[in-house]
Amino acid sequence: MDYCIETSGLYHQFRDQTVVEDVSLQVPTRSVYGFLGPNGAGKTTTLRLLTGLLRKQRGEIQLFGKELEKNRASLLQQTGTMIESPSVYAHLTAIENLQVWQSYFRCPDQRIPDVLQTVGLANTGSKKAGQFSLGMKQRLGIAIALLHQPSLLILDEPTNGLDPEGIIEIRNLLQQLNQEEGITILVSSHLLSEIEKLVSHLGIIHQGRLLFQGRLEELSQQQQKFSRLRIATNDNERAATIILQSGLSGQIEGEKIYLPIPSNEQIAQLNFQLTRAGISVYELQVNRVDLETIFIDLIHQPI
Amino acid sequence: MSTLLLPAISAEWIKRRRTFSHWMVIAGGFFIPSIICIVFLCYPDRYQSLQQSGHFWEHLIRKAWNMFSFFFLPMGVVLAVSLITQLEFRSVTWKQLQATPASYPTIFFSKLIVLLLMLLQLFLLLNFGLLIAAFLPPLFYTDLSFPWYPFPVQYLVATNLHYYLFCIPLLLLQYLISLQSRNFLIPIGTGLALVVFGMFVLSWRYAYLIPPAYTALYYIRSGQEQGLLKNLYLFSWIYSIIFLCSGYLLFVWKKDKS
Ligand SMILES: Nc1ncnc2c1ncn2[C@@H]1O[C@H](COP(=O)(O)OP(=O)(O)OP(=O)(O)O)[C@@H](O)[C@H]1O
Ligand SMILES: [Mg+2]
Repeated sequence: MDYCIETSGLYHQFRDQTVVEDVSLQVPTRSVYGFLGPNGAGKTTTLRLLTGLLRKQRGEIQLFGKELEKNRASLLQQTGTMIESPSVYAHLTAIENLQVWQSYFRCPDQRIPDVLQTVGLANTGSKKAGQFSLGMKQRLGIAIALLHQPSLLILDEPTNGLDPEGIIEIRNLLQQLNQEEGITILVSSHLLSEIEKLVSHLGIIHQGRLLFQGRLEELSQQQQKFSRLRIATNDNERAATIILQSGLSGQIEGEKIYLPIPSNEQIAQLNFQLTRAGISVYELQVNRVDLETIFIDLIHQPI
Repeated sequence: MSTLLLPAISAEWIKRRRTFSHWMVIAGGFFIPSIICIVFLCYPDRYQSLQQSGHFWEHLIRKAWNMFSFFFLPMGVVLAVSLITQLEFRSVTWKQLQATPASYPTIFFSKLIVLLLMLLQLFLLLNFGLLIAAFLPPLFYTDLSFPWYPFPVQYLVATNLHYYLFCIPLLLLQYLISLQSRNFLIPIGTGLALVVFGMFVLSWRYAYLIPPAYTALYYIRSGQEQGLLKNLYLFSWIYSIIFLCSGYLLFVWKKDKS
């Protein structure tokens, strides 16, 4: 597999607080990688390490297969970033802001109107960025990240402060950049539902540790695993025996019996068998777990 | 560093647009010439006596630096350096800047060069302003004659060069301090304290050890004590090298660049 970003054993500590611990990210080239975690999980810290903003304490970081520290300039030339909040000079207009970054990346003049068009800021004229709304600043931040046509985008909560329409717009834009131009995108968020439609891969971080990493489908398969049939009867012990006898696996947790979801026929059959044995079935319910719940479950597992 | 230095300087020059420090340079450059001009217009006899002294330009230039060197110049340096550096903290742009291909030396020196260019701009405006102040009064008073005296180019250049040189240690010290602190009050407070301290030690024998006093010291004692001038040169260089190196190393060694 070809990884655009690969870290191993990444570790970071602020004073005595370990914020990133043994994080080994693998972001495949041309993927959209969702980096998910609750507040304070260590997302921004990891992204700051990836862009060289924080000095690495332990571990390895490779971008495009090259070590970050030794190839900083050439790797950053290919990387567009927006970390934590948009970086905007309040006293300059959108165009002047982009001119500043244009100098550092040495890209053609035409890129400025192009990216402004892309993020929907083409008509801000002489308005200073300080007078922009939160969403407009966010868009300008995205424009800055896109300016030099990077092949890797690292975006920290890019839809922060955008209205629902803006969120969809940016999501579509990122999707388009990924599909049409093959740009690899690493995007962080604390809401799975927000990026579920966008990402192909997912990494879930909590308290500095990577709890899950893989394709979105793999998480969906876990979804099957977590989804269960719940049964409540007047005699759970006997019911459990019957369930086991009929070839299914179940277990009693508290007042209920839980088993992996069988087929519809099996459920009907089971109900019939229990009733025939004189057991009163109070409840027979399929609990489907959505991805968000798996996410919440994952981060609530004791580490 | 080399290939991106010029683009980085042009980026810094764009950032400086419309900032308070930019206006300060312009206003600061014309401030003293305007005062001198107003005095001449209100008291034309002073203008006349300056002409009669036989050293019109020399005296005019010295008059300007009298006011400038003690407080306005060091304070202007402190303010401009702090404001320009603070711009990145206030806009939270360090993280974007440090994630560009520009190397740490490029970032450090492009900002410094722009500060030195702004200082140069200030000096040029001051001299230009003085020229206007010298030629304006005869336009208002017909009995005054235009100052068509031989222009002491060498004196002018030497004066400007000395003051420029003697500003640099303070500028570098202030740059060092400003780069370290997110909190604007720290560089401004320290800088102000330095300038005031510099004014207090002017009569001290070892005042040449205190960089913020250099411009005033040069004004008071220039031409009188060769020993002092030598010390000023020597210590300007020593301090400049110390502040430049330590400022650079502190900047590069920062663990958190954002
Ligand atoms: N400069 C710093 N000094 C000390 N502690 C820090 C610093 N930056 C971050 N931390 C701590 O590191 C932990 C992780 O912070 P981080 O910003 O990486 O979280 P995050 O996952 O980005 O959260 P959010 O979703 O809220 O943005 C937090 O506990 C935070 O307090
Ligand atoms: Mg964050």
